Amino acid sequence: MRRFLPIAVAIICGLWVLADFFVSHPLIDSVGAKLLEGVMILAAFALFAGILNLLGFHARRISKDQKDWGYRLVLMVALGGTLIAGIVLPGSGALSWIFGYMYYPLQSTMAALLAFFVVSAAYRAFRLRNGEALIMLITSLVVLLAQLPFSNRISPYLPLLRKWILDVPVTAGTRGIILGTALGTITTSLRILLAVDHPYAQD
Amino acid sequence: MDAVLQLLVKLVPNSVDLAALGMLVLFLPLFIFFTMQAKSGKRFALREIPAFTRIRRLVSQSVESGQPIHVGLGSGRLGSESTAEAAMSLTVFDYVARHVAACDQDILGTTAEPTILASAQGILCTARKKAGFPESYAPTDLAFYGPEALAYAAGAAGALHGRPHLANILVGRFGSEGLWLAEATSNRVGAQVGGTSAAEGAALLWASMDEAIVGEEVYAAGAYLHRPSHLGSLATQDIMRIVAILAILVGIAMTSLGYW
Repeated sequence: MRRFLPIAVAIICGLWVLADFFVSHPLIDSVGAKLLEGVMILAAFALFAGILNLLGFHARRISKDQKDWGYRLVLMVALGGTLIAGIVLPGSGALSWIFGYMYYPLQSTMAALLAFFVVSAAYRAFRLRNGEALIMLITSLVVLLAQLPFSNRISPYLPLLRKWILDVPVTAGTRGIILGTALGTITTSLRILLAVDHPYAQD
Repeated sequence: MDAVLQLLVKLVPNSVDLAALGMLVLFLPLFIFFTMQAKSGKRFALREIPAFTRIRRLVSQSVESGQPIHVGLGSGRLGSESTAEAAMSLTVFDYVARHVAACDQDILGTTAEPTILASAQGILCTARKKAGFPESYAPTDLAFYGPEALAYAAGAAGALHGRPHLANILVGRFGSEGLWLAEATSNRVGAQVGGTSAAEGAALLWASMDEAIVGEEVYAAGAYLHRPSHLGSLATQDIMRIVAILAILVGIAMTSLGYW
């Protein structure tokens, strides 16, 4: 029963929402809207459970006196402080100060590091291990060179070649990935809808 | 008959997405047929995807050596457009969890999405119980680092810096945070395997992974790892791909000849 019930509920809800997508009927529409509303409520509860997990995860490590317990304490204090500021002083200057002077600068710092990570990843990806890496290296060099303001001086064909690379092989590859992903999404959705796969109810 | 037709006309509004309905009508019988065949034991030929072979080897190594594996489940949310990707990340986590639980070994799962967290906890709990070590289950073996993608990457990287891991498996919805996480931990893990189906994220992960899973290969994870029933949907996917290729060729021919 513990396995059957969630599967039955999932199939009924899934088929109902699918029917709502194709069919217009007052009953189907209203129940479908309620089900989608329920998903949002469940997601909110899941977020609450996630915060409890976050607190439990770090509290457990602080209690074990692990070497980085100080960072974990900062995290918990920051979480609690922001939560209290949001509940007690909603829309106040305190909350915008936290976001403006702490959250956004930290986020920008993280994003800035991406530039260095892209370089280190490209260094490893462009090592000439096989033919694919050679094609990748040559294509990247051509595109990078053609991005330069004086690329016309190197060769008048360079900007044209760059445009061709982006318009033909890159677009073809991207469309291939999108098409394959769409087919994969449909089959995976059917698997979940028809309970061939049920990640919500384990065997 | 007229009454049925009238009811259909009344039910199906003008705004109905006929293309989507057509796709569903095409997919459904094929899917049911091939899934029934797969469930009855029929085996389909599979080309090798090195990343899945590597995951199987890494799990065996982890069981033998006792070194844990990190599975990054990404930021795909159950109940959104990334549900399918999120489900595949859970399938991979299920495979790793079952194997390491059988030998009572550690595992670390991280996610940026709380709906995934609850499902993954259920998977790990079941795996530990089935293996006969229910007391080894700890909900904190799965960590949630907030719904912000880069915050998740920083949190997961911190967890991997605390203890060396045998491998970093990233499967699910990843954007630039996948690259961030993979590069920040490249000297702390033995191997990096993973991928995502989104084209932008896939390109970034391809560059940073030892073995990458690109695009639709993500949806083949179950069939390749431990779910033979998924072979049916994989066969359906392949047939529909052939249909799509034929449709493209017909479209090119008709456009070139001026019929369209």
